[in-house]
Amino acid sequence: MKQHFHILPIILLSVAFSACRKEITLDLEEESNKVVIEAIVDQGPGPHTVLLTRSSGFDASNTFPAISNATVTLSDDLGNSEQLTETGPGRYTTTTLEGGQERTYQLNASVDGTTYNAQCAMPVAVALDTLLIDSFPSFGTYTRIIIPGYIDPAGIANYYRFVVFVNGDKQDGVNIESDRFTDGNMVLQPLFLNDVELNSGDVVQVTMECITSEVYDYFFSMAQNVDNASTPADPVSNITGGALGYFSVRTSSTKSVVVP
Amino acid sequence: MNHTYTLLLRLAFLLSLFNGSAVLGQNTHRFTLSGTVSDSLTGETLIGATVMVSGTLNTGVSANEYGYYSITLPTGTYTVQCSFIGYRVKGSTVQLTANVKLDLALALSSQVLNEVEITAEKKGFDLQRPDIGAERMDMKDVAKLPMIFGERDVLKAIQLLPGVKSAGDGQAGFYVRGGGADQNLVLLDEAPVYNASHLLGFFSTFNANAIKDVQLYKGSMPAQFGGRLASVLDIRMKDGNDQKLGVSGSIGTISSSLTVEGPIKKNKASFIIAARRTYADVFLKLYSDPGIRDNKLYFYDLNAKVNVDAGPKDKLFLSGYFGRDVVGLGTTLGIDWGNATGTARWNHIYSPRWFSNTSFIFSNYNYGVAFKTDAHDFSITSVVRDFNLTHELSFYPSPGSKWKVGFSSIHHTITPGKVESSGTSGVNAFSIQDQYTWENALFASWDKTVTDRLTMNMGLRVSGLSVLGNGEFYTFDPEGELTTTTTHGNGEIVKTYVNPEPRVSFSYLTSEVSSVKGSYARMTQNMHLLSNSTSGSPTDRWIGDSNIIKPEIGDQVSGGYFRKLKEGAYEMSGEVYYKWMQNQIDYRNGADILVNQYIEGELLFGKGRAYGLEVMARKNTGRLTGWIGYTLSRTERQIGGINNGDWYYARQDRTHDVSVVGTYELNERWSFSALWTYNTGNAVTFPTGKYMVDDQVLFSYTERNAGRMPAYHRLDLSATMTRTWKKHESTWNFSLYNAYGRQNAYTITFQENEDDPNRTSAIKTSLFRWVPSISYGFKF
Repeated sequence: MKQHFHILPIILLSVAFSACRKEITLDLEEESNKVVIEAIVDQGPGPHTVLLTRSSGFDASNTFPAISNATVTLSDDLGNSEQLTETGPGRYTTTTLEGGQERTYQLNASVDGTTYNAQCAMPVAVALDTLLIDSFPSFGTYTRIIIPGYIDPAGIANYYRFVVFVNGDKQDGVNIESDRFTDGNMVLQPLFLNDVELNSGDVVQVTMECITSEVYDYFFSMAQNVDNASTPADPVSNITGGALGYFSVRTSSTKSVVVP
Repeated sequence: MNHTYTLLLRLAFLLSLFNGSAVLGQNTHRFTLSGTVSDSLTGETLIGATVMVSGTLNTGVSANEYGYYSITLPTGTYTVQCSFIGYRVKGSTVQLTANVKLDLALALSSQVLNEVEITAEKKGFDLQRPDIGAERMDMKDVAKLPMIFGERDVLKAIQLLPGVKSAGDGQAGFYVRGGGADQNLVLLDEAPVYNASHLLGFFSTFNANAIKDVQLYKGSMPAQFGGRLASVLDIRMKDGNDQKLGVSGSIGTISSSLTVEGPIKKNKASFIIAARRTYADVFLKLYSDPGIRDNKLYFYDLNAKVNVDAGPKDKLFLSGYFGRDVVGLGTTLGIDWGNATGTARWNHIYSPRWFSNTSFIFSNYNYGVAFKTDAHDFSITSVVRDFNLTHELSFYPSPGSKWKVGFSSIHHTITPGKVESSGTSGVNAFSIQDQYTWENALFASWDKTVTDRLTMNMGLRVSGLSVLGNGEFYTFDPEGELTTTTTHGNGEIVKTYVNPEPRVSFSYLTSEVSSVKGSYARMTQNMHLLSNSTSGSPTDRWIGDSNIIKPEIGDQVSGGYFRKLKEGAYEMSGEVYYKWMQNQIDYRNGADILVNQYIEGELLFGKGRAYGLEVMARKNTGRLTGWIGYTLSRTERQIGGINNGDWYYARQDRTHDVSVVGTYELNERWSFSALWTYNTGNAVTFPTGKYMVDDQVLFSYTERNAGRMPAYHRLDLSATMTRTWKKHESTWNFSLYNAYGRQNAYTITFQENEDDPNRTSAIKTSLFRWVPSISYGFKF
């Protein structure tokens, strides 16, 4: 829903004025070395993965230092617990813990003596039913949009996140949706891509994740920064202890379609 | 409420007796000279014209917002001199042995530069008036300034005054003395205008052809004004020519306007209608491709006013404004928004010393967003609607004493968001309950000449705000999670806030040519704007006070020194101010303000402070006129939950702000103008680092608004050619905006470097470089 409103300034600026864009050098204050945690528990046997990296300065390259030798534990409310093993630099994976419906999971990560905690409960699974490609006229061409469809369960709050791959390339951007206005409906959700134009023959794959309200808030606030809000800030994380990133326990369902 | 009002009236009456008796001791008879000051050709009343009398007593008075003046004097013979900027001084002799009604019609001074006439004008500020922080904009000066897109714009002209800052490149929005954009009370014929700009802020909603007078109060707000913290911008529409039919208009690069005015009955009733529309979208229709042709992008507005002289003691005014912006992307997306205001006013003269005005005011702002695809078909609408009844009574008991008492009662209805949907859409119809508040105020203010040197204004405004049912009211825990819900019935008072707002100002003449002025004013604000966009968006949300949102309170002290040089040819002023603000509103990181019924859980409250120095030097006479203004200022906020509770710069904090404006009259036909502005960049939040999540590079942030946009500056030039014939006049204005092509930063964004995806770049977007425009105006 919110994405549509950000089209407005873009239309106005591009129609009314020819804006000029130029790279500049800014003298930015730098603060690096913050702990970044990306922890995910999917439905099923796993392996589930926790990625630990550090942030770097603005002018540094986009390869981020991995955190090795951390202690990472995942446990559920049935008493199952597992310490994850580092299977690659900064990559910690499970071997036994299963992701199950209606279960709550606890993440503990200990890095250089500081502990980071998060809790997250598996949301109700909703399946992606259809995946369509539609087009509409815009400024002399036709823009193709991707429309996943699903049936939202009535009476409970559901949150969704869509991850789009075009010819195998994961697309940047945040596509999230809550059922605040669509509760209990058959929902056809148009997705807007940032830079990529779809062409005939392209293979589009969409993964629909059911996420929790905390994870939705995380991505919502992340999207606000991407949209260049007047006062950007770090996304609202469900991890305590001051780490960047999030802990998502989720279900997912995937479909593919070839652009006609 | 009624009781207090009666009390205030009684107090006024008693004070008038006291005042009167002091004079009565010396003179047995006193009579009143009163009347209306107007333009001899058009019949337009002249707001703020000065009437000076000399004889038994030497004193003066200025005409009020309706051109009315009243002065009570001992019996005798008096010479009356009436003057107003740009008009010939009118003199007259009056034998005051009974009450005299003297209407004064002033003739425009001829366009020829006549040195004698210019000195007689005595243009410039009034040293004796306790009006620190008040600025009047002359529409004739506005007409000669450089324009962007060929649009004469009052809001862009006031941004050139010290203490007033532009909201951004080409923007009509403005900030006054550290206040936010929503803290300016913008009034058009007394009706509040909730969104004073068109097309994302690039144009103001005010059609310059329909405006008579613009008065900005940034410091000592008179007690009859209230409801916003930072400033009052009081815009008055023309009444319409009551002598002859006139047509005027302008054709610009972006829009055209047409104004028709004339008498309905000569000397008795007149009308004015002014319409304006942009036509960029007309060219879209030339395209055969529906993808281009079906897009919409335009705005229009309409001003209309009728005034009727209903006898010697009564005058009626009916004025209205209607404006609309429309943006459409094919048939998929449509957004439209606009204001509608209406004012009905009745001036009544009870006696030559008692002038009253009663106004009934309506104001409506709404927006609608419609989204239509095969999958979705829904619309969102939001409305702010006010009904307002105001009564004001002015009393002129003796020279050097003027009372104004009155009340104002406003009923606000806010429909925060309503989602409507067609049956086939996946979106459910949904609506957030309407919010009702009732705002009342009683006010009294007294202008008093205490001694020859000291003039004072003392005022008190008592404002009350009642939050009304019906609907659900919530409370939230410190994390913003809903804790309780209570339901209140229709019209039930949920909560009432009462705030006394004292206002005091003085002027002390330190010499013939200089004075010291000072003021203290408390202001409160009961309507608040929530916005998270860089440029301001029509979908920004207005919200009233509630059980959780308290009235914003601002206290301002200011002081200044004013001096005239060379008999008023030059003037200089320096003002300082300090402002404390309470109950300031911001919201949590990641707040969703669109159609959110638990919005108060997303809000955070804190305080603000702003202080600064404003210096101005002005040249009023001769071929070259203009001013240099400089502001040094600081604006900060402290809000628990933001920036670890530490003070941070408000976005509009700009350390230095300079404006240089000059107009050179070459001859009768040609005049040239130039303006240069410079300001420190806005305080913004820049990233301090980056990291990887979800295979995307994201930025991390530390302190709020610790970064700075690059400094902004630009030069605008214009040439105006005016040709006058017997019956008509034409004006050509040629402007060049941003003459040296400075690439001012509109936004700075951060993204992957195009050549090296492993690096990050800061990208500056600039909008306007060398924007030429031509505008043609005519009048006959």
